[in-house]
Amino acid sequence: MTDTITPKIQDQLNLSALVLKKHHKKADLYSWSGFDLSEALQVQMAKRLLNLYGIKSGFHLRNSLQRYKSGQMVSNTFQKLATQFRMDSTTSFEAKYNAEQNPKTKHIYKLVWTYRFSLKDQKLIGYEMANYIFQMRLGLVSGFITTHEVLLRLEDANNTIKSTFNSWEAFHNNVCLGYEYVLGPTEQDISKFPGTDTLWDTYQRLHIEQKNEFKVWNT
Amino acid sequence: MPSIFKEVILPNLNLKTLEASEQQVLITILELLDITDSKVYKDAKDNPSTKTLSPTFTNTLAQQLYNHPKLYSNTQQGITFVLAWLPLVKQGFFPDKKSTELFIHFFKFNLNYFESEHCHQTVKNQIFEVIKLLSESTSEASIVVNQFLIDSIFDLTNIVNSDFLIKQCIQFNILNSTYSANQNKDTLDTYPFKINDTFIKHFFNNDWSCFITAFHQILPVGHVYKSSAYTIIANWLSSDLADYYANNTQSVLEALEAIKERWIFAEVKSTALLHLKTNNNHYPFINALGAKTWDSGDVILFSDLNKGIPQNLLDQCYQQFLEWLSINKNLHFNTEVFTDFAKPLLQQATASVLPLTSLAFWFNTCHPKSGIKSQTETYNAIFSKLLLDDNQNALPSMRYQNETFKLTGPFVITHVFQNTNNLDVFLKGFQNCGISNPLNQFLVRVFYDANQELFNLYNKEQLEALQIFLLELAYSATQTEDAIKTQNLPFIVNTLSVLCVDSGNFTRVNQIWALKDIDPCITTLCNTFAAKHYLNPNTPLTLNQIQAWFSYLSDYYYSFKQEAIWVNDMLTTQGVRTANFFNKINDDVSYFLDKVIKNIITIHQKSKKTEIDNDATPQTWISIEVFLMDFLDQLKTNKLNANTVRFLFEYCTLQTNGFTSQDTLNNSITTLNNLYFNTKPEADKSNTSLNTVDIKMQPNEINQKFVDFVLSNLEQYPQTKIYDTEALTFLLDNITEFKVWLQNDPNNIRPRLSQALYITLLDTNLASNAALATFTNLCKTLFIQLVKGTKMASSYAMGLKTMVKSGAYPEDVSTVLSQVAKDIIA
Repeated sequence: MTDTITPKIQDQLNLSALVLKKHHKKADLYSWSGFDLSEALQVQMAKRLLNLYGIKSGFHLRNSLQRYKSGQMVSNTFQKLATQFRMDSTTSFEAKYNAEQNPKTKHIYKLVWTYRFSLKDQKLIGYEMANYIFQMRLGLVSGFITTHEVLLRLEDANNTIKSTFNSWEAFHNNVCLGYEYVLGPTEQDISKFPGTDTLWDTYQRLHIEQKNEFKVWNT
Repeated sequence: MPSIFKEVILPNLNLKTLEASEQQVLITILELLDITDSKVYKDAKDNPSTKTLSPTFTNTLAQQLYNHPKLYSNTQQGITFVLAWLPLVKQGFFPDKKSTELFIHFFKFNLNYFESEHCHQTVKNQIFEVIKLLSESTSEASIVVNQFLIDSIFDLTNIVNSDFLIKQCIQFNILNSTYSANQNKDTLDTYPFKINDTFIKHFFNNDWSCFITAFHQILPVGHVYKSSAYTIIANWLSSDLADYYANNTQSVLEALEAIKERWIFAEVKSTALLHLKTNNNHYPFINALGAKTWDSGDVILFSDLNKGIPQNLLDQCYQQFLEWLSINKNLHFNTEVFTDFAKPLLQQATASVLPLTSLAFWFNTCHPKSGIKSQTETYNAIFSKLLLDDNQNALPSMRYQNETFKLTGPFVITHVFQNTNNLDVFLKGFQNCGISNPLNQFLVRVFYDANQELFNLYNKEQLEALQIFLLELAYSATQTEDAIKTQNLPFIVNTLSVLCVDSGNFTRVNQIWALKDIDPCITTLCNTFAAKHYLNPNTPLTLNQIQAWFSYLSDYYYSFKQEAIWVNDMLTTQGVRTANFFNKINDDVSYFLDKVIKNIITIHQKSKKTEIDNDATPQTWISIEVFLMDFLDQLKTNKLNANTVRFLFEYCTLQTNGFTSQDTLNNSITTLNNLYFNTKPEADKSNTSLNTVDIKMQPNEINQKFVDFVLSNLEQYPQTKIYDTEALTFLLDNITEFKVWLQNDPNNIRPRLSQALYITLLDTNLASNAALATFTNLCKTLFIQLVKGTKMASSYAMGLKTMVKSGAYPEDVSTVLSQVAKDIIA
């Protein structure tokens, strides 16, 4: 990883800052992977995360990236549901909502219903692309991917995000919504799990600690 | 010394009792003794008859010379007397039987003196020189001396003496060449010291069992690490003895016990005896060893065996050896015998001498579930060297049914593992310990060797389990050293490629393909495998597969052509095939094709922009153009959507980085474009389909066609990027006329139009783009005009308010939306 991080690359890497911080509190936002490779514990942590995503090799990593990029992770299902709900009236939606038993699905229904119009085009692309970048950075730790490839993909991911959103707020908002969509009501309650940060916590902390990084939306 | 002859013997010698020929000899003897000044010498010399006759040394003369019992009454005198014989004996003048017996008697009586320090070494040496000469002489003395010596070394009652004699015999090399004995009364014959019938007759009263018993008894006797009676007897071993043992199995077992005892007490081997063989190449001892149940001693004996023993005999021994090893779950594992003998024995062996059963032994002993750690480590080290390292690329040869047998996968599976019924359970036992376990490395080879035979041995579910097992093993290699990886991973991948034959099971194909990242040694194998499945011309194509191709195209591009390398082959060879596939589909595939082509073009564009890859393989975009050329040439013209065609056309004409490597591609796209857009309007007259109505229309009157055109543009502007302000202005200018037309519209296009306009309001891209403000404003005004006062007004207003509240919009847009909401219900 000899390539230096130019301000432009840093700006692109920052698109995954929120997700990175969420998964790795001590992450160094100004390095390629965010993990300190000289520290065994951090490397182990990155590997554990990769394992969690089922990424055992570069091949798995690329397949996973492909799924994020193509919207297979959340956007496609979101869109399908949103299209359905756009045709619904409040009453017919409520009927559907009440008929559903699974609390997780109920949660998703509620979320999609709320954003069925406003996220028509953006879907949850912000969330997906942030994770896309985050996983590439994880891949760097295990050597599943080279910085050259990361650069190439980063450029395109950046284009996708920048053309979909028009501010850091809008983008981060989408990331958070994506998390809420995926995690549902299972997001850890800090009263029960002290010491764990919710994504919103991370978001706030990020804006306090690195407030200058997330002001200008470079398109 | 000779003085004793001069002083004691000659005076008593009566010349008259001697024949003339004897006198002749006497002269020689006396000359030898240097007693030429004696009277006897002179008398004999003067005797004229002596000169004519040939000299003869007779018993009579011998007795005259050697038989003097009185001299033996004093030890020193006796010794002097015997030593005086030396020059005579050297010349072949041996004592007769009687004198020899007398001497032996004296010698035996004074043995203790000879052993003691009082006896001078020179004396000792000379005495034994005499004995040696006598023992090997062709005379009656020989048998007497030898009988005494043999009796003594077999004598267990007087160990001190026998030990002394043994030592001297070895030192002077006595009892090692020949002896003589009377064949009949007169003639003497010479015999070698070899154990045979004559030998037994001469020294053991013609009783074999007597010798055998004595032999077995004497075997273990001796000092630690020192020579013993065995050292002498070992030279006598003969095929006759071997024959005897071959016919007396009980004796062999006794002998084996004696050999073991000898080992235990004296710590010396009895190699010569152990390897005794008959003229028919029959080894009675090794044969017996192979037939009996072993104890630790037998292991020691086995470890002493030389090379060159027929493998058939050793086969049985190895069998017994394995049985000894496996007694009571390796009862002997912690013994000295195991460490010092059994282990080196195995370590120095080769696979080709080990019986097939050792495989079963290895798997049983080292099984990950039941093996004991210390044992597992030891045996794994031993067997992995024998069965894996020594045969780098294949299964070893082993011994089976007394033949050298080249192991094959199917044979091992059916005869050793016998797991054709319970493969799942069998594999489960091994799965967790990974490829670093030598047992697994062996298993991998077995399955690799079995190859296609696996399909006959196992059923479908079992093969599935086997594939999962192999995949697991492959991944376990990530934590092992390189040597294990490079040796075993190719076996695994090759076996998996044999097993994975179901076409269309791309989940499995990908699992196997993904192994390539574990180690470079299998990258090519895996890629070839993936290419074989993804580009298999014999299996029918599916939409999913084509989709997968182009998903991997982006991997191929992003990874600088390092990943999914078969994509290049796909691009350059599969164009025609893909087109034919779509040609045969009756359903509408235009949407799918649109996506695919746009995907390809995106990559094409990127690839052209970043022309940094400079290796030998052609650039991605060149391959893409080859594909498109093949594909579009072959594809039926009605398969594409007009939008797609226009997209292609625009890309190759407008874009600065269009298709450059293939002129024909540009031509065919132009042809296609002409086909769609120059002939289409005529064909369109009968077809009211909306999706291709995108030609520019001059607004002049409000009619069905014009309104359809406007609606189409509004619904498709995000893709087409056409913001037709002219048409909207025309409608707004004639809004009253338009509303009247809408009321009479049989198709009731109004709700669709309102909905399309509503969407433009909610489009943040549109709102944020200052250049399109006119368009946005026109849409807004038209929306208000169309919705205001209708039943839908309140619904739309509510929707707009919800949108504003959702917080998804920037403030300026929110303000506009709120205003619109107010306007339509005002």
